[in-house]
Amino acid sequence: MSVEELAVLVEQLQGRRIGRCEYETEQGAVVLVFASHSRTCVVEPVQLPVPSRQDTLVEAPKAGRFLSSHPLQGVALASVGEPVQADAIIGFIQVGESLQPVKAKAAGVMAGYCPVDGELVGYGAPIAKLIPS
Amino acid sequence: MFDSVLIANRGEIALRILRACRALQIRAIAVHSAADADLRHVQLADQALCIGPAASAQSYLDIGRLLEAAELTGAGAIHPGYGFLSERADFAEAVERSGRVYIGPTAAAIRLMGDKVSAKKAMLESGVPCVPGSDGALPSEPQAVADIARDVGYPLIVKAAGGGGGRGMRIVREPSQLAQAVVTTREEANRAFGNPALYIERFLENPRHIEIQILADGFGNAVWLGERDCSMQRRHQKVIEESPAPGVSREAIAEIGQRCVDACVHIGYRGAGTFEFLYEDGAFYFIEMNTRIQVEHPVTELVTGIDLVVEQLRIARGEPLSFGQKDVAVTGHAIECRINAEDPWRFTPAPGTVDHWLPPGGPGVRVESHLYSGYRVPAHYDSLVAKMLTYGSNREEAVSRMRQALGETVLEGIPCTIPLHRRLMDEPGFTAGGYNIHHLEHLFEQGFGQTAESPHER
Repeated sequence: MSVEELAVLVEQLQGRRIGRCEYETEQGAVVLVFASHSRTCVVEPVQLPVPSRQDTLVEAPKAGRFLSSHPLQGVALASVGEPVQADAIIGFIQVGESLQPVKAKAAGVMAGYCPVDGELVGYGAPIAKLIPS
Repeated sequence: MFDSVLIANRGEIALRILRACRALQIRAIAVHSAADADLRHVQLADQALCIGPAASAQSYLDIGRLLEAAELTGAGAIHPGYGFLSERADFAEAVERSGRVYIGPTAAAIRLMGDKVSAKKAMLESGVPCVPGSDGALPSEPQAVADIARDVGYPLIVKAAGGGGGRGMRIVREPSQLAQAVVTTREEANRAFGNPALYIERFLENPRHIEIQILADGFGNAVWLGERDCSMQRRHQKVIEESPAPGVSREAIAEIGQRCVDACVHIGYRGAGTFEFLYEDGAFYFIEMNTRIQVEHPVTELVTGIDLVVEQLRIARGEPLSFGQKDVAVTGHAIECRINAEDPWRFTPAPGTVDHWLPPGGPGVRVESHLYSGYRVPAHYDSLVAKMLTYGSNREEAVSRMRQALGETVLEGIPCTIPLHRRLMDEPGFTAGGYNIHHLEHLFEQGFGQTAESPHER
């Protein structure tokens, strides 16, 4: 983003009754603030948010009681620090006799379960955190 | 007997039910969609559970999810509110089958009154006057339909037996229009309601909409609780309701009220219900029964002093009515204005964020609303966001208080129907009272609202 490039932009936008305009490129972002009664434009730099490797949340597909293992097997389906494949079953939501699997949407490393076993969770509630691999 | 109620609804009626539960020390359980996590009743409930995404079909209309939520939360009863599943016999049946109490009538009564043909038959058997029309569902042969239409007389209206809310009906003014109207309405009825059955009725040109509120306990006791005049309508949707109905004699109301009570006993009705009538030239004509609590129920509460939702809960707990007809007195006058998140002149839904909400107050003012500043009105549901009610010793006082209440209300951030109500409070037809159901539509045809573009009315 050069001064010349910004000058062309200001020239094109001026006089078009625009008060404020955000302009963003790969090099950065600025806000152009146009004065209403004169040919003045102030260019303000904008601090872009720094992209981060956010944890991925696995959410409950329905309301029910959370189980980290199948009731007949009793072994947790995922362990903290272990890799989890996309579509892998990491737990179940139990309603009465029925069990619905909770699947990881993307691969990652298990950071931990959010609810405790047997806890009642609502639809969309966070079930587990995965660190993207 | 139950000590917890799952509220299978949202918005202002969910909050209203929660408050009734509190009055009887009943545990209130809120189930909600992902879009409604911030609703007021969800925050206030003893327990809350998100049951699905924003779409009603996967949340408030999903019987399976609601029953699962009832099991997970240990709910002893389910209150359907209005709209959504409130008049679905299969829902009432499923709730009872799951071992819980359905707060409303039996599935058989919902089914009977939900089908307009069977409802009309039951009403005629009970002595409730109906609009002259076909005896049962229309036959399929066009000539047989034409013969029935000739006997009923023109103009007439072709209606879907499973329809309601202004959908699935067509006005026929000439015999030559009949055959096409029947074919089109039948197709529409089959598509929209899954029931192609039709019936025809004489079309009343300038009727009023007057309805009778009832309560029945299932032990053979029933009472009527006055009437509501709901004639201020736009596209078959009620805009303003009031009680008593101006200009209708108390004797006429008492007579029709008693017939409604008789009908309740005849069909074994249980719970709150409303008999809707068209009223023209001093005569009542039954149109349908709503087998649930209605949006406008607080109007009746203000003039009778009876909490209808609390009574619903008591009846569902198996208690007989604690009062009789002689204990019910209609005193004073009440008016309700429905506040919708809509453009006030075009009635187009306008969801968005409420920047500022400051409801009115003072003597004789009641507001039923789930709004708060910062609340986001979702696009997924009905646009009703508040019900503003005023009570006075007479109609003039109630109207005067409504003017004042509407004037001091602040609702910023979304368009709403308050500007329309402000204008209507000074409209000569409204202030005179006794207008018919076409009054508001006629006002709009004459340009009502077209000059209401001043900034404070947007």
